[in-house]
Amino acid sequence: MRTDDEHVADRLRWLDDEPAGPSRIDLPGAMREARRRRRNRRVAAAGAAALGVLAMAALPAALGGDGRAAPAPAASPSPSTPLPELGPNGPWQGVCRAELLPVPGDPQAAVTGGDPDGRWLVGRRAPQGQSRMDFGLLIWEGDRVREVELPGSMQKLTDVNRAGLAVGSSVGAGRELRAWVVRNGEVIGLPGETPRGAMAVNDAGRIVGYRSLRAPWEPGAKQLPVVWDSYQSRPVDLPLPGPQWEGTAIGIDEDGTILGTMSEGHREQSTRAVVWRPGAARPEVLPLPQVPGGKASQFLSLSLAGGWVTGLAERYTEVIPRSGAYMYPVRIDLRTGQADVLKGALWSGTGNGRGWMAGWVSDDVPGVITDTRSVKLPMPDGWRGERQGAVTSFSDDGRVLGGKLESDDQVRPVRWTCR
Amino acid sequence: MPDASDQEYVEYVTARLPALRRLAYGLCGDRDLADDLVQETATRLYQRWARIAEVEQLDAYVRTVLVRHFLDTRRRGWWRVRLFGGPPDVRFTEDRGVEEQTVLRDALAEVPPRQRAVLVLRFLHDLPVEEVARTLGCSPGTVKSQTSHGLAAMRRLLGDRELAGRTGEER
Repeated sequence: MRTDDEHVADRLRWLDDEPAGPSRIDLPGAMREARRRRRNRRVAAAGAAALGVLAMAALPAALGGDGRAAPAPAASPSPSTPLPELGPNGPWQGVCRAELLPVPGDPQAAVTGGDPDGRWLVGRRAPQGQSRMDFGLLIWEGDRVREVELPGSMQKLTDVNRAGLAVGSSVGAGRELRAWVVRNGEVIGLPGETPRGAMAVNDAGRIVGYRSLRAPWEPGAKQLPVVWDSYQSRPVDLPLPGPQWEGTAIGIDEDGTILGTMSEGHREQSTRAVVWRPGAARPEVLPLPQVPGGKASQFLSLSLAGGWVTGLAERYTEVIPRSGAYMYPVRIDLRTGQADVLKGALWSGTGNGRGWMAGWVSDDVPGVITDTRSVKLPMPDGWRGERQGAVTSFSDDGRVLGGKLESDDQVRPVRWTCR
Repeated sequence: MPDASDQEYVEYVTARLPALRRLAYGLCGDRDLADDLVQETATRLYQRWARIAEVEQLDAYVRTVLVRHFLDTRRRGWWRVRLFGGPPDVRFTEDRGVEEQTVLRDALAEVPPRQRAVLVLRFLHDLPVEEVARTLGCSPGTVKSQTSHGLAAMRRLLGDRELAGRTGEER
């Protein structure tokens, strides 16, 4: 081990302590929850034997192998017409190249969001300052980059619309959360009194996010979903599915539909997708999708675009597989309610307006999963070392993706462009 | 309905709680998330408790459940996990200093999850390489390379002059 490695290892040993404050561990609660899961599994297992064949047959689309067209689900054709794989440059071929984005000065940075055309990408530098919590922000329009500073610390831009209006959040000196927009380089605070954060913006300039009852790192923290009609409007609480529900609005479609990731109480493990449609009086809690082996235990939403909700469906099982719990990339068509399990594995990532998904498809491989195939994304020329990172932006035409790459000693903002 | 086996479970987990909370806190650097991890571990343990007598090394088994659940929650980009990048728990320890701990925890939180798990298990919990390999379900060689990558990431993130290595030269 290098001498400086030993130094780091020694410093790490300083962290070996218990968290401050009283434990929230509730053993009777753990036993109750375990009994409930055992009961549910018995019920599910009884039905699964009879339904197994049917369930597999009903798994629609996207289950063809790499590059092989999936048969259309004949029994229940989707009334919505998926966009054909056609763009201004012809059919999507899945031939991609990777390039590192320009960054003035220190090149350490990451992409944290983008617009539906892939023209705008937003991101931030690696943290600076003594406490390593100050993030300089970056907005790319094509290959041009603009530097932006938000007040406070832990600055992050999360989304940007086709007009280049970016939204994000930071933590102020008093540790309060603030939500911001950046418009033509000008930083404007979003109205509201309580701590709040902005997560997404659509082309109409509507912004969604959350307000926070107590800061996220305080005990008893709770987020509630909100919408700002514009960056000049006051935030309005979105109606909850029930009194105990909490969570965050994470996406807004061009038609005004809002997606939230919510749960019924902080301690409840099951996270669900919740949708607010324009004009509807109440939110809809989307049903948990069917995945191989049965119904998912929870659904972790990633994105909403073009009427498609994408996310990861998790199913608890008796035996923990080596890789962790069973996770499936799933897209839900809000026009029909139909949920498709896409072929392949995905670690986090994001979706686009065709219901395609992009992210890390295995330990060290970024990739795209469309409705018919999966495609690996390349590394930039000369990239050495590890291949970890994230995909945080995926254009509706499937041709521009943004994210970050990390290796031993660097983090770089990356853009993939595909034919 | 409580029985002798339940009593054993409660006694065992209660005795292990401080160690499990330490491990969870080391992994995720957040008090609430640490307790969530331990709560889920306790739940999964109880689900299997009737058959657990067959497990030879119970402590190692429970640690494995916790670490793999942590990796799983990180992998799926769990929305709650440091979604806002809020400051980590800040506590004052006389001889270490709040700043140092904050800086270290923040850097550790940026290290990729598998590497972070290796660093925490090896250096915070002093487990041998072979034990870490069993916990993570990988080879000892992988543990060694992940250790090296993880320490390199920490050097980069901490960015101190004395530790900067290659990062310092890039600027």
